[in-house]
Amino acid sequence: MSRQRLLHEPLVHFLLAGSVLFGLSALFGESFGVNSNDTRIYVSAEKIQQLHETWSRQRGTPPTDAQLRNLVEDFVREEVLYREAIASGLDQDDTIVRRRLAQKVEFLAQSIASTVEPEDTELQQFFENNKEKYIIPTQVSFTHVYFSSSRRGARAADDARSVLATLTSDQISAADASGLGDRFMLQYDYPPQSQEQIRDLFGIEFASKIFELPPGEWTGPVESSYGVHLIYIQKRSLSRTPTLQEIHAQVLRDLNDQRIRTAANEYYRGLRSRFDIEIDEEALLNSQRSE
Amino acid sequence: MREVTVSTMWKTRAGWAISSLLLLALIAWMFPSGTDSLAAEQQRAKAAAGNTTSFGVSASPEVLTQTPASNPLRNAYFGDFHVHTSWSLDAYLLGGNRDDPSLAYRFGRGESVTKSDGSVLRLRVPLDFMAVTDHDVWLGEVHLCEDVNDSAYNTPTCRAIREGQSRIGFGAHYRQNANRGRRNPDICGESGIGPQNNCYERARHLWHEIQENADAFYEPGRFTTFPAYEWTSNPPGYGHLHRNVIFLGTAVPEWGGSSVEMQNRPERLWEWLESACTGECQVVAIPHNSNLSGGIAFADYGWSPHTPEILRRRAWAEPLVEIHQIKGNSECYRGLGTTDEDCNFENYYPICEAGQITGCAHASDFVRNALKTGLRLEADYGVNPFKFGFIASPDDHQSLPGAADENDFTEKPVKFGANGALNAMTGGIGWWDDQPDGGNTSNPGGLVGVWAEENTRESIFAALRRRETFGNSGTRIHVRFFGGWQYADDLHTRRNLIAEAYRTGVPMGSDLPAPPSDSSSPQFVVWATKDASSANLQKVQIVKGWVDASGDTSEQVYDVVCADGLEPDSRTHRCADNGARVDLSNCSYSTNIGASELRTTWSDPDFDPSQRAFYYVRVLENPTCRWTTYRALARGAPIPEPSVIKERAWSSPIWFTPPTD
Repeated sequence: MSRQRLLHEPLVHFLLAGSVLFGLSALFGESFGVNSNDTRIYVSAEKIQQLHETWSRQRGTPPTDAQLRNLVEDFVREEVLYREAIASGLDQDDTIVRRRLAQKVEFLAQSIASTVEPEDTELQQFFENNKEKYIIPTQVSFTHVYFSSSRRGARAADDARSVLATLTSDQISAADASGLGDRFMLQYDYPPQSQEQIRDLFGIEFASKIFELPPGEWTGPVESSYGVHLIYIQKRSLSRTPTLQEIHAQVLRDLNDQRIRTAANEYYRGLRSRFDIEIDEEALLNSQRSE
Repeated sequence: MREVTVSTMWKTRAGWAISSLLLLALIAWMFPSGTDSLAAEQQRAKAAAGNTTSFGVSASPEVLTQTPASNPLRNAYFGDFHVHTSWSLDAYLLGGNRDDPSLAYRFGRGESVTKSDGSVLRLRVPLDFMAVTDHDVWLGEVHLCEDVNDSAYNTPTCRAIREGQSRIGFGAHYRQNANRGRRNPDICGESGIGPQNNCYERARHLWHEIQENADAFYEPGRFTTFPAYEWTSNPPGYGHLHRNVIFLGTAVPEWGGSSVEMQNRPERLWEWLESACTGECQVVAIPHNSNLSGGIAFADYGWSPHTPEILRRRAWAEPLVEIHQIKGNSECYRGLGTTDEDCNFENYYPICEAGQITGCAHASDFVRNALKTGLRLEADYGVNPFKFGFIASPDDHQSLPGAADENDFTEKPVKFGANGALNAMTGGIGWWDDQPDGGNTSNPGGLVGVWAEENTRESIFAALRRRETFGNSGTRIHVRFFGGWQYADDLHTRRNLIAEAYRTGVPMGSDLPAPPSDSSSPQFVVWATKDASSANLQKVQIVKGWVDASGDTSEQVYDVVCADGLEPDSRTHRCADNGARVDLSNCSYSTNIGASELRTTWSDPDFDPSQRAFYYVRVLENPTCRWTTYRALARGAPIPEPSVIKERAWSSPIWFTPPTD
């Protein structure tokens, strides 16, 4: 078991928390938490280095001597007030303090999850389990000739059919064909588009028809929200699942998102299982009814 | 002497201590950092997050496609130039938004995203381009308050912000500090005034991150991003004087201070942009929500002094205006300088009572009136400070750009995200004290369209600069608009109309060239097509404004082409109602009435070559359900008025200036 794997073990969390509590209570006994005897505050080289680094990272420049002195003084001030607050029992039964402490534990669990880069096998496994999310849908790239129903009315489809005959017999290239119809507001050539994308551009019926057309020849007419079209499907690429290599960055980001989200939940579930929790179900039901 | 054995050691207090410390040592070994266990781990995590995880996520296209070729006749691209994330204090505090700019970019380019509240969302139609426009005011503050290592973290103000407890305090802090050009000393340190404080320093640092984020998500040819922020000035006693400042992305200047340091004076912003954005740097500042300005956005006396110098800078810095967004429409308001009934559209505030300044609509809040005022100022000063092209955007505050559909909220309850609409839909309290009508006067906002050769920073920014832009109210209507003196009467029917229109005239956003001696009146070619996913088009209008020799301004709205064979009345210039209706029991609408496209070549019948004038296009759809109707149907609640709207698009204007002899 690697070090990193150990970090995720609930047992480790348990041992850690337990040893801290046992250790402190053993050393200070009943006075734990109200340690009025410990009056020494030592600001170590490590602490100073940490204050220095934090400032530099967040501001892009190192602190001046005076600023660093202030940082240390702020830290000391916080420590003095913190000890006084603990000594006065302010941490007991204060809703905001309770909530902040709870949030902080969750935050720690999440932070640990986001620090450790997932191993390749974990990434591969995540990708396998979520493959359907990464499927590239069937796409077509196409060129079209447009016949405006606003301009031509009911003639549009017939006009299209006669142009289709010309296109087929005269071997007119796709690039030159658009000149045979009406000027189109959107584009003539579309790079690979999914059915959903084509629906948003041309309407539902057009989007379902165009995926039934054979590639490499002029076909139609096909009706859209704008009129009728002759279509030349350049390429139809079938739906496929990309390889992990193709979308490595995206999968890694999704896995990290999930790890961060689940770390807090798992950690909580582990902790919760150690408690004997009893809820006054009757009171809960009653309070719902009375509302 | 007592012999301590291993077995008895466990029975003593010292034994407990020693064994616990042994365990700690074991755990210290297991944690890579070794020294300070969990606390150190947290530091490392934050450092790592700062470097890689939470930001700077490298852009990765979900579907690889070939890059389309450049089109000299220009394509329409749709974008969003107004969205807020957790980096904006109002979004963070009032909206509970905890999703940073990377989520906004990912949503904008069409990825399925999981918001921090757990909702999984995807944009119906991905955007072609966007800019994240977080508020400059409080940019440093909101980060300092989230920074556990900063001394501001535990201040009462920061605690209240994180707990989301200071909705009212937010307004108070705003009024007492930012609006008066002051920083909050609680957060920003003792030197709360002027540039030398922690908040300014943090904002200066974040400005680099904003640029890095925009760069990271830019995919030329597919998805274009610009570094930007919102200059958020609220002069005390008045309303919004907000501007979105959008940079090309090359040679972006260092942070020049927010509207706090600039004391709410837009002229300082223009002056800074002019002096700092030089060389390869390019920038536009886009005013928005003029409808909430308290009368000062486009007043001819001006919140900013009207000197030739300031007017010149303003005209240079602000070629565009945002005409429509979540917090209402800013085109026009019936009863405030116009009798146009189609101005009854997403008006946010009621008209001001005598003496009232804020929370109400003034004539000088609206863009059409500003265009008219601009003509007069140009006659007086030789420069027109209100020569605006148009854009629209949502101004969402939930890191969700481009979501401007009326019926989205049924799937995405927090989509509107900005203000009242969110709360109206979730049953929460209003965001702002002055939110009218429980949020019902909000709307989903619109999108910005540009006509550009290709989807790149350079091509789109050039379109912004020449004002070849249009705005819409959320549906993707396409509109082209050209003016010239030698257009054939049937140019709109010709297949080469776009090439011809460019070759012998000018596109939207331009000045008409000087008229040839044999011309009596300019011609305009207009062409509009519907959104394939929305209702048919009802009509296309041209809105004209002009100023006469005595300085009086006027306007006239012409229906220039109507669907269903209807012709405009020669006296009123309006077409009759085409009879398109909405079934309010299910929001279905007429599909056999209206047109999929409308085009015409139009000549101004009332042209006077001695008068300065502007012309812009407004395209109206057949009626469809307003978002409040979708909501009411989903809830089985009564439908509030107005139950239906006419979605629309606005082209940038074309201006005519009489030639000087």
